Amino acid sequence: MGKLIMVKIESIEYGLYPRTETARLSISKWERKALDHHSLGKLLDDEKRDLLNYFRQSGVNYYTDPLINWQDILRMVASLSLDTPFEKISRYRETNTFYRQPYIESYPVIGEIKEEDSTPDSHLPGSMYVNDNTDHYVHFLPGIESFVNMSLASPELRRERIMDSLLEIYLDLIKVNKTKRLLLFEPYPDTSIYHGYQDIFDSAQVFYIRYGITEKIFGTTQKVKPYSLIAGNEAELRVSAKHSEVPGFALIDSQNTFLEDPRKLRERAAKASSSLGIEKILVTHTEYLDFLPRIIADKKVQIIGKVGD
Amino acid sequence: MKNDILITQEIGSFRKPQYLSSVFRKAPPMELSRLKERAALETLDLFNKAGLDNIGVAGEMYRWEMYEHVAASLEGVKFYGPVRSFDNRYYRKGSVVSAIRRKESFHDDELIFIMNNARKKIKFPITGPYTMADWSFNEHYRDKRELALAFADILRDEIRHLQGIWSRSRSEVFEIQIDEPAATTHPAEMDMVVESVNRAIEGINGCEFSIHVCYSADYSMLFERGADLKLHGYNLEFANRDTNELGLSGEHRKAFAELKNLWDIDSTKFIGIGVTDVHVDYVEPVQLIEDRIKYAMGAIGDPRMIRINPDCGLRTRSREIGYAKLKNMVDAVNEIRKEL
Repeated sequence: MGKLIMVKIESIEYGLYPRTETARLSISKWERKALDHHSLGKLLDDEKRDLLNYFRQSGVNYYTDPLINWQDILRMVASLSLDTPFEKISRYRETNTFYRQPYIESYPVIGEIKEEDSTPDSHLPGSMYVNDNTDHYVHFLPGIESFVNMSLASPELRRERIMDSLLEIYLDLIKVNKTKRLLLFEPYPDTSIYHGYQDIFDSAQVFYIRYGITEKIFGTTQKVKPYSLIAGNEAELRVSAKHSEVPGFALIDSQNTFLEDPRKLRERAAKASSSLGIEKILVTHTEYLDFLPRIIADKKVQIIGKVGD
Repeated sequence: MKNDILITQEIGSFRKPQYLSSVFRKAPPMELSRLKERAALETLDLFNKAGLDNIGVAGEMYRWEMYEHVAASLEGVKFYGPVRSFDNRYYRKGSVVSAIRRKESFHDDELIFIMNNARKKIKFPITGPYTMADWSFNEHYRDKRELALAFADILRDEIRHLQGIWSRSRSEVFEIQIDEPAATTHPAEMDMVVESVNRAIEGINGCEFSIHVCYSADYSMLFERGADLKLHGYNLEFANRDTNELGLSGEHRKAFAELKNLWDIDSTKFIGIGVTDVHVDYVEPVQLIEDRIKYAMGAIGDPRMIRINPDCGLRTRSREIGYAKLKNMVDAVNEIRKEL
C-alpha cells in the first residue's frame, strides 16, 4: 500500500476580471467625455477594492488585482514603458477576444502611469494596482516573453536587449510596489525560458503561469525556479512538481459557464497530488476570468474558494 | 466602364443611427420595426451615394449584432450577460443549456424589406455554424463538433426558407455570405469548419455562397481546404495588416503579398479583398486603395475573380467615416476600371 499523504490545497484567482455594468457604462461615458478622469478613476479603484474583499470573503487564498482598468494584459505595462500608439488589434490566442498590439520603437524605459494621460486606446484612469496589503494580495505582470511575442518591434532593436530592458522595469516595479508576491502570466511563451526570470524569482514569491510546460523547457535550465509553477493538466503538473516549490494546477474552466462541483475538483487535485507525492498544491482557473459574464465569474470565484482549504 | 469586374461590396454591418441604437433593446416591436426600416433606407441611400455595386443588406439595421441576433431567437440558449471582445466593447455570448431549436425565421423580415427597396445587387450575410458554436458556451452538447452541426441544421433551414422567398420574385442568383470570423482561430478544428459549413448549405440550389473570414493568423489553412468547401468565394480582411504607404512593391503591400500564394492554393473561387481598415478612423486615400487593388490584380491575374470590400463590417466607425471609406473605395475602383 502506498503512503497516505494529507494534501494541503490552496487557491489563487488572477488576471483580468469582468467589469460590472456600472463600470462599462461609466467607461463609455468617459470615452464620450461625459465623465472626467478623476471620477472614473475613483469608481474603478472602489470597484477593485470591493472585488478584493469579495475574493477574500469567498475563501480564495491568493488573488491579484482584478485589473478592471487594464484594457488588456499588456496595455498598462506598455503605457508605462513605451512611447507608443495602440492601433492594430490582434486576436488573443484561440479566442474571440482581441488586444491592441504595442509597437516597440525603442528600448523600454520605466515611466509613470498618469491618470490625466489616459485615453481609451492606452490605459484607463485609476491605479495600476489597488493593494489591500493583506497576505492574500499578489501583484500581476504579463510575462516578459509574452510581452515581446505579443508586440511588434522595430527591426533595429535586439530582442534580447528589449527583454533585458523589461526585466529592469519589472525589478523596479517589484521594488517600488514592495511586491512580496507576484503572478507572472505567460500565455505566449518562448521555446526556452528567459534566463533573466531568475532575478524576478529571487525578488518575490512568484506564481508563474506558463502555457505548455514541458520537461524540456525546465529540465535544461535547472537554475530558473519559481515558487509556484502552474500547470494546465496532470502531465504538466508532474513537471511543475519537480521545478517549483508549490506546484499549481489550473482546474476551473474559465471559458465555459458550466459551474463545476468543488468537491469533485478537490478530489481531482488531491488525487493528482497524491500520485506525485505532493503535500501542498495550488488550484486556479484555466485562463483569466474575463472570458465569462460577470455573474458567472463571481460564482466561479466561490467555487475556487471552496476548492481550497 | 466595366462594372462586372472588381465588384464593390460591403461586408455586413454599418453603424446604426443613434435614434435606432439607443432604443434597439427597449423599443416596442412596432416602433422598433419602423426605426429599423427608416435606418435601412437611410443606409441604402448612403451606399447608393457612395456608388457600391452590391449593397448587401443595407448595413444590418435589423440585427443588433451578428451572433446575438441568431442565438437570441433560438430555444436552448441562455444569456447570462455580456463578455468582452476588446477594450470596452462587449457582446452577449449565449450559453447552450439544452438542445437548440429554430422557433421561427430570424432573417426573413430583413430580406423582404431589402428586396422591396433595393434595386442593386444584394448579398445576404448569415453567421456561420462554426462561429456560432465557437462563440457559445457549451453546457449541453457532448462536444463542439456536435454543437456546430446542430447550428448547421438550424442555418440550413433558415437559408432554405430565405432562398424560397428570394426565388419567388427574383430570377438572379441569391448571394449568401456565410460569416465565419472564427474559422481559422483553432487550426486543429478545420475539419469541423468544413463539415459544418457544408452541412449548412447542403442541398440548396440557386445560390452563390461565399465565406467571410477576418483577422486570421493564417488564411492558407482555409484555402488548403478550398477543394472541400462547397463555396464560390472568399471575402477577406487585408487592410488592417497592410502599411499605409503608397506603392506597389511587396514591402509596401505586405498584407497582400500572401495573395499570390493563396491563389496558387485555390484559384477556383473569387476573392473579395479588404482594402479599408474598419478599426481606424484614418480614411485611406483613393491612391492607396488603388495601389492595394492593383497589387492584388498582379497576384491574381484575372480581375473578374476579385471583389472589393472593407475588411469587415463598418459598425466600428461613425457613419461619416464609414461613408468616406466606402466612397474612396468605389472611387479607386472606378479609376482602375477606366484603365482597363
